[in-house]
Amino acid sequence: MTSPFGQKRVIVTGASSGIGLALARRLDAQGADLMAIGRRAAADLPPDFPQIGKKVAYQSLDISAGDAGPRLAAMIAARGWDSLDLIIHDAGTGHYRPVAAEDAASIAAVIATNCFGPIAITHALAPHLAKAGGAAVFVGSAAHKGASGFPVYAATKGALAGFARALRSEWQGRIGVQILHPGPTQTAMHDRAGHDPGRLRALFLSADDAAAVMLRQIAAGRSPQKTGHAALWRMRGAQMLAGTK
Amino acid sequence: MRALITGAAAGLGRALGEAVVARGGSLVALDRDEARLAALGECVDAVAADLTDTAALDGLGDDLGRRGPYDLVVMNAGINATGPFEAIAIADQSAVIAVNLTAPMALTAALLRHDAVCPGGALVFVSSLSRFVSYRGAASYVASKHGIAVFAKSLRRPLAKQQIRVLTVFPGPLDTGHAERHAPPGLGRMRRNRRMAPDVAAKAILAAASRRSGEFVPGAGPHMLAVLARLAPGTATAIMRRFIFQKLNGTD
Repeated sequence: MTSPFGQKRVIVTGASSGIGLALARRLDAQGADLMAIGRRAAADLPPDFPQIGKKVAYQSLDISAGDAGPRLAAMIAARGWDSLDLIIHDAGTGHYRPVAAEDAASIAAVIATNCFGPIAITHALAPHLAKAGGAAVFVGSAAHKGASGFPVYAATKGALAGFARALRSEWQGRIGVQILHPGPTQTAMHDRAGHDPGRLRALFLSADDAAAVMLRQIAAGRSPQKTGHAALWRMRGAQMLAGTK
Repeated sequence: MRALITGAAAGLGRALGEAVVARGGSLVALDRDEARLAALGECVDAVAADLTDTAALDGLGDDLGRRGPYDLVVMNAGINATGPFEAIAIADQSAVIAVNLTAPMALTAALLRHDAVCPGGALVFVSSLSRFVSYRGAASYVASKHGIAVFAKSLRRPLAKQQIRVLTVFPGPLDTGHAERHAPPGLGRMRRNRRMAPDVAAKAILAAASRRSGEFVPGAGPHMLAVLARLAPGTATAIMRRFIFQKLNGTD
């Protein structure tokens, strides 16, 4: 079966770990022309990162920086791309703590990474996406409707959901806009956020399963979508019926 | 009653402040517009501040905290930037997120650190009806108003333990300068007397804040739209298009 992502020019942010890394691996395996973006320096990538095919270009970029949009546009130009088929905004960060433990700088940093960074990058790359009739995919969270343990994180994901809904309506027929809300996933996110899910972790989706479901949801183009166990079972059922796996 | 209101020099914020003072309350009024703040009168404790200055928010929050404690805090200050997404300068969209989302979250954090919201008091966030109904051409504004509503919802349970009510308000277009400049196409042409007067909205908001936590949509029309949008988003959008946008654009 040919992949809908074969030969497509695709950017994945947050690609140095977690779901973003799993997305990059799968897209590369499916023949996408991929640019993987992460905050880490290339030298600090996981040891198995280079196993990804030769076409993958990893670029270190802090998407929360004020000039991230223009810098990414310059990277695209340097790659020789004049258009862009797909950007998956996967980079995200957050803290598990009550709001009184936050200060303005930490709140602004989470907003910059989770919400304004993706907005600014989409703004800078809109001409490239328009040229290809491409799509911008935002990665929300099951917390986008509110979470008392992560109030600031939940707010940024809720903001992203509102943004995606408004922009999807505005860009209808021109550029695709989607938001996918992954449930808890086995990544380093929880540890970095200072949250110990304990035994519940066994119920979390693996990053690779989450990535597989997300790519299927991106190919279908519907929004918003939950990326969780139900979507995974639907995908496996469909694959069994089609005899592809 | 002591109240803190942001964006208090005009529109809904000013109407809220007037309602507080009319009930004999004392008011800390924050706004970026010094001249309009001065016009509120000497009995108001005026704080001039620009909420786009994120680096100053901790200091501002400490200052506001020391002026408390408050029985009522209304995070009302809001700005907008409307037009096609690509055509709105990214600096303007950044300012929308800073004022409407970053600032109320950071000021809330500072006030709670200072225990500046009294037990039995209320923390009110002004979101927008665009949380529920489609609002094209204002994607960053919609982002900020969704975000603050989710923040408020996330605080409801933890703050209930401190006997602080958290209310989110979703006003439709009001008869204010903000709506005059930024209401969606169609609604912007709505006759001014069809929009809710800010003093009517203010009284309804204060009444709701004194009673309960949760969500509040002032006005019967906007309330019905919000309920419908939650039950049947497609139908609500179609109705908006059919009965409001097209009618007002003269295409129906």
